[in-house]
Amino acid sequence: MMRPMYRCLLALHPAMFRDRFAEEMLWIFDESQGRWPRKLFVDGVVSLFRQWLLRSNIWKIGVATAVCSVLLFAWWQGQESSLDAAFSRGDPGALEAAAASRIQQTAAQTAARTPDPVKAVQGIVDAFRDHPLVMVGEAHWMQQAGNFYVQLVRDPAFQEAVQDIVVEFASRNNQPLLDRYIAGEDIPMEDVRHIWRDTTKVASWESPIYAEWLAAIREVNKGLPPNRRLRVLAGDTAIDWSQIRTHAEWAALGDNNISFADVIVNQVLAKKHRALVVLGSNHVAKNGGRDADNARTRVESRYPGSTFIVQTNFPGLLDSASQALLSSPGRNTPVLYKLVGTSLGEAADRNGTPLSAKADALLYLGPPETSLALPPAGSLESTYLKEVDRRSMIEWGELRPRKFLGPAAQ
Amino acid sequence: MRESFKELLPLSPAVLHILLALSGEDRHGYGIMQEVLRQSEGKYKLGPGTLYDNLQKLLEQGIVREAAPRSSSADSRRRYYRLTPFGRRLLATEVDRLESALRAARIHLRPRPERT
Repeated sequence: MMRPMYRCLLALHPAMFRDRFAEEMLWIFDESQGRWPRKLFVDGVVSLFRQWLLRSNIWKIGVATAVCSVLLFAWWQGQESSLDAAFSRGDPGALEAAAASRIQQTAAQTAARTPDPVKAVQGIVDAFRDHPLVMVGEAHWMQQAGNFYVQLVRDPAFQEAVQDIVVEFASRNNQPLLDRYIAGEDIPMEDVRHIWRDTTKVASWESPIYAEWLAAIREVNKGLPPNRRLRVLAGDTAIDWSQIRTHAEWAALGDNNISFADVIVNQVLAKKHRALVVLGSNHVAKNGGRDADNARTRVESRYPGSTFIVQTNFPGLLDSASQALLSSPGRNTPVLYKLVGTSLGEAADRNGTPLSAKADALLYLGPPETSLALPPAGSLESTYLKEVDRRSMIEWGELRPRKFLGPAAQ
Repeated sequence: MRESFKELLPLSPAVLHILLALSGEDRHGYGIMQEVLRQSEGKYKLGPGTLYDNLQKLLEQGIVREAAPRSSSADSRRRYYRLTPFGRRLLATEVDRLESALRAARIHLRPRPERT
């Protein structure tokens, strides 16, 4: 009897707390074997109030509603008198103006319920004022994202704001090659491709958006003085595929979050640089993502407050109601929505996690496109595809890239 | 950027006890509660609600992180927690602060000869 009641008490906690800790609290209840049930219940009730009143943002909604109600009432009183005055004067022009003013103000108040977006380039540049790192959690292979990365590095304010760009799609052993390419050195394309091909994740960066982005940075650097050129830092764990024969050897490379964090700490923060970091969403999520300890949490444990997390919007991230809140002023004008303390931040992702628990801002690139930027059909050489098959069998035990590479692998 | 503990100190009694409990080894929630009870000689009983409210904050602040379970056969509901290097430095700073306070207290509270 006591156990179901305690379980109900836990179920009443906010989802974020409940998902993370309720099972553990129930386990403690089981372990205590009813030795101090009353104390556990009192503790549970106190916890319930604390989580809802202090830790969730519900109290802010209550206060905001009360303040809005008072302001709305005061405004309505004022409008009543202006409309009354217009009526009593029998002045149709004044009556029309007063009514139009009321409609405009009502519309403005409705719009204020959703956060105001800012242009994404400007929003990211602004975030560098308070944080040396802006970490973008991307959904890989999105053409919209690729276009935005190019737009970002071409912006003079961005070039002024950062020194480094840390990427997931290059392994650290290729840093010298990457430096030479980004510096503008003439290197045959078959050599350059090693940058995104020889990483710990097999064939995962064949989408042309990554090569196009590197080419854009190379072009930008040609127009910048040497001391202001952007450096691209390879974040992925170093790997020599010629030495990898078994899955155990591949697995022994370990968690690439360790490598990302190491590069960021030693190549960026230790040098007092600022960097844009672009990794998969799980590597940058504020709550640690799938692995509980990701690149962001590892960096924050060394440099608290150093990161500003931007989650890219992608198909399926939000439900249709939350998706409907988003819009951008033009097709090529991505925008950034602040999440902390906003109604959008309270929206849950497909796993039920509030967005504000994962990121500080949402990057909206336009209505999310479900199709991805694939390499052109037949563009991958047969010798490379043979090596992809070998690596694929080592990493996954199946020929998975043959599926996601599409016509390029046929 | 220099490490700053200014906003995190002084630690609340619950946080201090949790960090002390984790300073020796990784522990799960129930283990932390028992260790706190042991360290305080039964005087400080930490409830699960208080424990996990504080753990949530400590995880977000990077002071504590989740650790791998000790054995694969352990109850899957049981999660282990570990003090991060940052958390360890924070605890050491707090202990230094408390030692200074204790020193000052001992000096001022020392019995003195009565004035005649």
